[in-house]
Amino acid sequence: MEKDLSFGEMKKVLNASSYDDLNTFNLTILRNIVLDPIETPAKYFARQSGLRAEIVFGEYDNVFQDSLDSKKIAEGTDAVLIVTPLHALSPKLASSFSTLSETDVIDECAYVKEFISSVLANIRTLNREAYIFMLSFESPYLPSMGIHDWRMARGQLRTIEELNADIALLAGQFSNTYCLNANQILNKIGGDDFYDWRYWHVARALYSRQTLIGVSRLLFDSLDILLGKTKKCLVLDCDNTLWGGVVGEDSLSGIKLGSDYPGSCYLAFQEAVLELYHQGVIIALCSKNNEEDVVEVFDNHPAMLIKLEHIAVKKINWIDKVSNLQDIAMQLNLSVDSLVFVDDSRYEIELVESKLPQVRTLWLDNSESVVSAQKLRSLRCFDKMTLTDEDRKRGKMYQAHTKRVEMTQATNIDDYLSSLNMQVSVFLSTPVDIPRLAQQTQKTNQFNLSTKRYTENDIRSFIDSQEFDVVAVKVKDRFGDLGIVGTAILQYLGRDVVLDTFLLSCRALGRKLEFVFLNEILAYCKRHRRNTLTINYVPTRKNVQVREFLIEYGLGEAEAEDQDLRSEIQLNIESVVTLALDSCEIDNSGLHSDGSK
Amino acid sequence: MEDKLLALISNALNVPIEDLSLNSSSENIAQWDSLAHMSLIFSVEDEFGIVIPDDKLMETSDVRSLLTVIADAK
Repeated sequence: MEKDLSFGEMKKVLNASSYDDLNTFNLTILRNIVLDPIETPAKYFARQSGLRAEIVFGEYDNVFQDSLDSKKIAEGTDAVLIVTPLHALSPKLASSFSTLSETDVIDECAYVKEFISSVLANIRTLNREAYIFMLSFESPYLPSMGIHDWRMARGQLRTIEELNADIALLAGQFSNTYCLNANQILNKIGGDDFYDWRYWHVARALYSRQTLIGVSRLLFDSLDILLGKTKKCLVLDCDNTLWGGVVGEDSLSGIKLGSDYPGSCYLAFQEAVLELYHQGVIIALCSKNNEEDVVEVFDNHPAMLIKLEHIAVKKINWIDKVSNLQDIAMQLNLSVDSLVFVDDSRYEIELVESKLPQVRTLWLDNSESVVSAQKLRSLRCFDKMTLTDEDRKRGKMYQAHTKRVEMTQATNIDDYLSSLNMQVSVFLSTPVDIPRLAQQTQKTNQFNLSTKRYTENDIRSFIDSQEFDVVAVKVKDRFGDLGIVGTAILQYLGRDVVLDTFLLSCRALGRKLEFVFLNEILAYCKRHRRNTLTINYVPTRKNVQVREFLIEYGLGEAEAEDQDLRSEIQLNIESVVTLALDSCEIDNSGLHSDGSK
Repeated sequence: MEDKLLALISNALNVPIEDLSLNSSSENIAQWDSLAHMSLIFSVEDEFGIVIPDDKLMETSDVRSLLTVIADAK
């Protein structure tokens, strides 16, 4: 919904920007067309993601050669983008489709897949870490066999759709390799504006500037997801956001909400909110109102789709919204930069933008409430790579979390933890856990020892490998099932163990689970007669809680410099005692299987 | 229009505006290569709301001919 800046406007932002405090991001672009003007939008969207992009272009139509070139695919390359539209990769499929026989089509598709497969393999051989993004083939907007091409089993549309599906599968076989959906861009800007035929014929540059902007946006939106920069909580105003009008003045029967205009605009907005809720976005309220007025709407308005049970935290009071947002983040154990704030008041939006610039804001202009739902749906900051069971349950879990927080205020911490009746299970993970574990490594920022990001393929290879164990922890308590909340990856170097990854999801913090988890890991390593366990703290802007934990666990001095927080625990010494905790029931039978590697 | 175009070229090529004049072209401005030219045309088209015809795309790598093309396209 937001209008894209023009090339000139992006260039202005870039020329005026300071890059001093931004991390460099080395992007290599392999292409079989002239694509060089993408530099401007790519650098612009990198800047929006807090990165300073350094771009290396492969030579024109040298994709295969460049995939073998260690200067183009260097050790320090952070990501490789492959852009090989069919117009150049397989002109027959793109522009002479109906002249091909059935076998020709099969051969041509096989050639394309073989080509992409070798390119991906070559890149992976030269660089094991870099993200690889492959722009999929856009659907022909003027399909070879006309308006009914789409119904034909051997039509051009279906052939290219199947080719894309095959390539997506192929990409899935390589670690950190993803397809970007070109049709996402095509759908937004339309076929007439997708290509710049002038430049195709004059300079072999196929894509219009809108498409180059679209590709760049898609690339960096995807990177944001992979780098864990997505948002977690949607904070909503009430009056003129969830319904039309002001409940304190118009009363329950006077507010606009229902199947008829204008109430239908607000209903559509609520539908969009609930879609996010069911994908694991936490919903909070922040509204200047009398609480009982708002609760009455939630309890008694027949058209309300959002119920109080969907709301993790509500701050309905007359305190300024900046303080309320900070409170909401604290109650949910989130950092403020995980919040998205929605309000119809320009004043509130600007206040939040000036005091809490790390909060993403969405202003719902009252004069265009017909598109409020679309504005929310067009935010890309809640997107994810996959949807796990934990995502679907998260809303409920956070509501339980708030009840727990309310209980802590009444009692001391140990009594409180005991009263939760926690049942903790520590176990060697199995393939069904892979999506959740990969997601945890991608999204967890606060309690994360090394902040290493892994894909599902990475986790699978750790589980399969003799040199690694992947241990997970899940928790239930009297309020509900929190699911898998922690991941640890143990790397074996002979009889020694390195704790490669040790993380806990933020909703499980404050329960001393980190102690239980490390206790069990130590005990497991001891049982398998390992010699040492090395724990290496990698500080980030967000993971100071790990530091505090390591010190409390006795693995470092309070004054220690971050780089000195590296411990090698001798496991063969009997006196290594783990800290006693009796606030929960622990099931470690999942660590007793014969999984010793 | 001339000032607007010079400011736009300065921004697109990242060249100080003092270094540009009516006589500037891809011949005497090092940053004005054929690829930068493409980005420059994108900026010119956005800014002036015009579409430069394909036969003029490559012939416009100097300020004077750009001015003519813009005037013709309007």
